[in-house]
Amino acid sequence: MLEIKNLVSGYGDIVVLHQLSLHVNQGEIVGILGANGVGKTTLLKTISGLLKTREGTITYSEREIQNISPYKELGLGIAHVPQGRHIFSKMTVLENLQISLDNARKKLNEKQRLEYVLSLFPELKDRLNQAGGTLSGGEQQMLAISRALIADPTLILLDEPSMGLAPIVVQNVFQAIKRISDSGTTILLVEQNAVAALDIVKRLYVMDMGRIVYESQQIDEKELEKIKEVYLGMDVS
Amino acid sequence: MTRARKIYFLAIAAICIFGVYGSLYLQNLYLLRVAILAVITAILALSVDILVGYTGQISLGQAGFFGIGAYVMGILNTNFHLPFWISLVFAILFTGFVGFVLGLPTTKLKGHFLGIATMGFGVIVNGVLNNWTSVTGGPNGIRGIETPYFFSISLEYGNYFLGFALASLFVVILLIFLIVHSPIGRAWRCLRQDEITAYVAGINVYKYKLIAFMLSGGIAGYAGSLFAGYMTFISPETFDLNQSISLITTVIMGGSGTLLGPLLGTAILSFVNEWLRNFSELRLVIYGFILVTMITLLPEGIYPFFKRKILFFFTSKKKKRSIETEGSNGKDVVNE
Repeated sequence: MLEIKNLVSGYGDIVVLHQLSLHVNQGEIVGILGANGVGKTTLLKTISGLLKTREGTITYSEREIQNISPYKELGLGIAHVPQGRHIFSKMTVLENLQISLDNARKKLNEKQRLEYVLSLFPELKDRLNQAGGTLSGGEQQMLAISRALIADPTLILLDEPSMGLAPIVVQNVFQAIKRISDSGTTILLVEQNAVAALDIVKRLYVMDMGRIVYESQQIDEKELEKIKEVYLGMDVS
Repeated sequence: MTRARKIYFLAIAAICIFGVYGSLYLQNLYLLRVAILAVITAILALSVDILVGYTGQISLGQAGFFGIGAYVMGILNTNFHLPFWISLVFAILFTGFVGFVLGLPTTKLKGHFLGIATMGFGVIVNGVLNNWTSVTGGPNGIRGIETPYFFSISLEYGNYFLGFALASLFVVILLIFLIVHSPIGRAWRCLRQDEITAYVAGINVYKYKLIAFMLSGGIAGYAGSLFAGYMTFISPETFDLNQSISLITTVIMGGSGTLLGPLLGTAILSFVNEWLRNFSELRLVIYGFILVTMITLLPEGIYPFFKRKILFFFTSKKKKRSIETEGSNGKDVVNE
């Protein structure tokens, strides 16, 4: 579904991604793990067009999208949830969701989409008419994910949904992500919180210095231990 | 449209109609002149507000649009002998077009950089007006611009011109009101709050910024034509950087991102400015002091401050929580 080949990208003079390749299949939930500053966010920004692709190709549903403007991607079915809970803080929760619906790729049954999103995040139900900025951190993250999800995307790019959240909230958010995935939406998840991510991902890439340094096909116990020990510096014994 | 919004809008309409009617009876010629210039400034302030308030951009070159509007009117009217109304249409279209062209490169800029770029635009326009003597008359300006006729009524009499200017102001208010409450306005509010989110929510940020520049330019051009028609004489020094800065001051003091804010700001600053003439040399000192005090005490602007106080007084407790979070432009929550 999503195929990235030899991607080079960066900011100004600095090249962050060096010839990076990966792919995501339909219906999968793929994790990209790695420490701070290895280029995970850069990768998602490049996929969603917020950063320019310098070299390489990004193919999505047999269409090259590396030169497409970022605002068009939602219309293609790619929804990006940027790092750090980007929401419209002065608009109500409902308005936040409405904007996404307005720009979705097809006419949607708005009521049905809203109900679906609220069933995943019942916390938002009582807050529909409240300004986004008055929500708690966890609720803001849920709103950011809901905003992406309500447009009925086929692929969601999630950038560190666990950032700055309490462990219990992280669990809630990740359970919801799992349910989104179960309903057939493909998810590319970028995370630092390896423990939480490893619980839900089907396949995994580990990034370092702008490159993919490890690719797992099937995650089993043994492989998990290896990943944790070798690439994430965790003590498993 | 909610009930509160209806009442609010009817109130503006009533004030304008009352104003147009009342303007016919204003006898004091000096006051009349101040009032007409204030109304023209109000239209300009609203054009600035589209960029600064509603879209969250900055424009330090608004006097450029103002000047272009005035000069298009002046040149078409005196050199080509086109009637006022036709020149007016050309002036609006041309300044809108200039806004579009200026927007093409500058919509990619943000913050200080956009400020410097728009300031550069204003300086360039002023330079052209000063130096392209064969067309603009250089520092001598253009004289003998025709004061418009409205059917058979000559607007040369200040009262009629004031009525005309107020009617124009009302049309501009209506236009901005309708646009702000359309999908365009919603997109503006989005990109003002958070551009990255606007992108990922599928909003074409460039397009909506361009629309804002075009509209802002067109309205400022309209104000320029009005000014040229009223003064019948224009020269470059009216359209300099000071004008741009004083416009932005007006908008921010009144309350950016609102309709009434810039109007209130204009009304207060125009008349305060006139009143301060009593203090001769001390005038600018007092003026500066008032500005500093106001900005320090009411950083969100005069109108939002009072609106908040009044609304707070009347709203239920449940609603108060959501009101608290809006309308404080001076203290935007930074998401980045």
